[in-house]
Amino acid sequence: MNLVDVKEKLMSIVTEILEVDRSVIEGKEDVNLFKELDVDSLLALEIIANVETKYNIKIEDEEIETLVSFNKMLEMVKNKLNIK
Amino acid sequence: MFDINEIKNINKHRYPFLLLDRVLEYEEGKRAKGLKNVTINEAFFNGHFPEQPILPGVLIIESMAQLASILTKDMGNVLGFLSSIYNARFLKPVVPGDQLIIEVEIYQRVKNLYRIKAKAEVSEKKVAAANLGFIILNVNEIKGKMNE
Repeated sequence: MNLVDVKEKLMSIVTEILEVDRSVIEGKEDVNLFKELDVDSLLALEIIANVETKYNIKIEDEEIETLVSFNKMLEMVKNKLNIK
Repeated sequence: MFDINEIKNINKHRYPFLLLDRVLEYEEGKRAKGLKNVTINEAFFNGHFPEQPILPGVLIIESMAQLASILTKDMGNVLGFLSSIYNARFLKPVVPGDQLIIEVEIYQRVKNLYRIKAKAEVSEKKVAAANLGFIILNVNEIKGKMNE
């Protein structure tokens, strides 16, 4: 899986769970989803759970607190999958 | 393993919404197997459906959820809230006289979100399956959450 695939997959997970169009996320990859997009903690956990199963990775509880934006999640997935 | 009195000690569900009769197997923090006997003497069969009683699929899901709730036995004073249902399938009608054998297994945990694979069988034939998500909250936290 290359970076484009990883990003595309993450975009589809996030937009599907938040039930938003990708235009809502695009251009706002660095904004805090909780503050600016009003994502509640339950949906955040749903996103993390789906990221774990769809990329087959394990995200530790301590790591979750840092995953506040789309790009932070992307960064974490890239690191776990060893993609530059 | 757990009879109905023990189930009532663990779960807060009560008549007419206690949809689990016995727990047959229990592995702490992992999985459980339980049963629900289906009888015509249930009020909802009057309407679902007159002359063709079928156990509503949502109640099979609820039975699975109540068995999953047994898995909170050793977590202290908590309540599990159903937060998602994925891939629910109802494969065969369940009717009075059937004995539902339900199995639940935790397959993922992300903080206090638990995801569970559940299936139900009658006479060793699968009748329903679903993946359920639960948010586990401490009873003391719940009031605050409800007002959010």
